[in-house]
Amino acid sequence: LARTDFVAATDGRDGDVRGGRTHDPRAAAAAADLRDVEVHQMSETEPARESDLIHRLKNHLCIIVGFCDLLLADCPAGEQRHGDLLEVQKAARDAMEMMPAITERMR
Amino acid sequence: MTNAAGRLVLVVDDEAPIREMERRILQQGGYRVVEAAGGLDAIAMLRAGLELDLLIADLDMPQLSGEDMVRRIHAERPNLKVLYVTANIDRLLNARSLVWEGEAFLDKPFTARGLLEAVSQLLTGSLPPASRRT
Repeated sequence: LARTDFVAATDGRDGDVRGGRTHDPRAAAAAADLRDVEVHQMSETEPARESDLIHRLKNHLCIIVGFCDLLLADCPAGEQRHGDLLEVQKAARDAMEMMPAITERMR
Repeated sequence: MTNAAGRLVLVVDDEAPIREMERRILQQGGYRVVEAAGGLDAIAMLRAGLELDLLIADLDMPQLSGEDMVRRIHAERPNLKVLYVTANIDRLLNARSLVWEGEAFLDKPFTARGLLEAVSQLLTGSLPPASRRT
């Protein structure tokens, strides 16, 4: 596995810290329901920011990597198609490895 | 029998291909999976009585962000475990000083194995059998 980037959960969910965010979770939820839904969608007339481009690139790459893994799981080893998929997988994972450097340069 | 058997996961993502990909990966791993295209749909499903073992939440969704969705859900189901998937993990971790118990983050792009490992770690504290063998 090239990278997972799984950030393990910690034991930080104690009452004090959580209480600092919402003292009464149910009341907070009810209040949130009354507010307008927050709209994060970028206007189509705005130029894409670097962070949005990176976000979209990562989503596309995620789809390529994920579906490639799914296809490989269903494709018997030794078939030409299996070899082809391995090439796609390798390229996709190499691209994953490049993402930190690309992200850094676009900051 | 895997440690996934019988576990029900709700995948919430506004991007249909990513939702489908996650569903199929998880089903290959032995999980039962339901999907929601947004936070409001997910909240409605849970309020209708859906009993989940794990919520997988995209953080960047157009109507209701993953964090806002989970905040509302946790008000009613504080023990529900959550795996956030995000393409902006740096921004997220800069903004948050803590990762609560029962939640974890997975950076996009991720592999099928990465997703299954993250889910298994969060649900059982251990890697899935396939990962332990390799």
